Amino acid sequence: MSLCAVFLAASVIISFVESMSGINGFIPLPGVRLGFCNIAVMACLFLVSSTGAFAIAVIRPLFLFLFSGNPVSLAMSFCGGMLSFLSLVVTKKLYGRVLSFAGISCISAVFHSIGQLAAAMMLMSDVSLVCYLPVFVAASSVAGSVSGSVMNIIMPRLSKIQITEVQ
Amino acid sequence: MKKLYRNDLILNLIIILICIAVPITLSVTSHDEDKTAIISVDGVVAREIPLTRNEDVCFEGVFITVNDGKASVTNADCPDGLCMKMKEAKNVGDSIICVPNKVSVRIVGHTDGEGADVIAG
Repeated sequence: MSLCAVFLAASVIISFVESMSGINGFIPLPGVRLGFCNIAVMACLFLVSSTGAFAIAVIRPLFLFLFSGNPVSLAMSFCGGMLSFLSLVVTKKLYGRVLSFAGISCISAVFHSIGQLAAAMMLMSDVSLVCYLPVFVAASSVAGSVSGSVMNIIMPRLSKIQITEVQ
Repeated sequence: MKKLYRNDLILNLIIILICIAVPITLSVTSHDEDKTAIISVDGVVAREIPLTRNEDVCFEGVFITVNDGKASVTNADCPDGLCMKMKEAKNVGDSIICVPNKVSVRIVGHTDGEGADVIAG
């Protein structure tokens, strides 16, 4: 439980720093980020439990809403987070056999951007936003692979720490 | 582990390829008969001409020719004549605008149906 809280804090901090980094100045939609906070969700999913990861995916957008106060961003973050969490749970079994963390993170990032765009389409009731989909999916698959590669590096170390903590 | 990284890379490349291929195939397979040139004068739609038709029209001194699936401004009385130099419009989203005469030609896809009020899902 406390580990989940640590991961939640990490994910909130990562996404807050990301929102300050100015990367979303390039794209005319709110809530577009690199998505490194997914690292914390994945680490929680693989090290602790899927319930904890789900909690992070739900609570993180709420925290970010407190910071930004942008309801559109909240809805987009929420929809994207739910979809990407579901895809993480489904693809978790592939880890170690077919894909490493980079591939799993890539898939979840793609679903995250699909969810975000679906939310944006519903909010603005503008179907033409679907034109952005290929751009978003391509960009998010690259960003997801990058954050997944970070996972590949940190996970062996994180899992070591956890074993000593449990004992 | 090496093999897994290779799989990751393949997955990533496949996703990017799909993202490139789908819009291209969509734009290639979109048919000419779906495309319409919308001519607006001062922001108000004055005329809609399907690109399959061959037609010459004149609005506010701007002569617009729709021919062979393309729309272009053939003659205009504006001082700069920029609209005549603009590339002919044939793809969805292309437009020719004559600012002095407030005439614009825009190519759109499907014009039948409800247009802006369609909601997905």
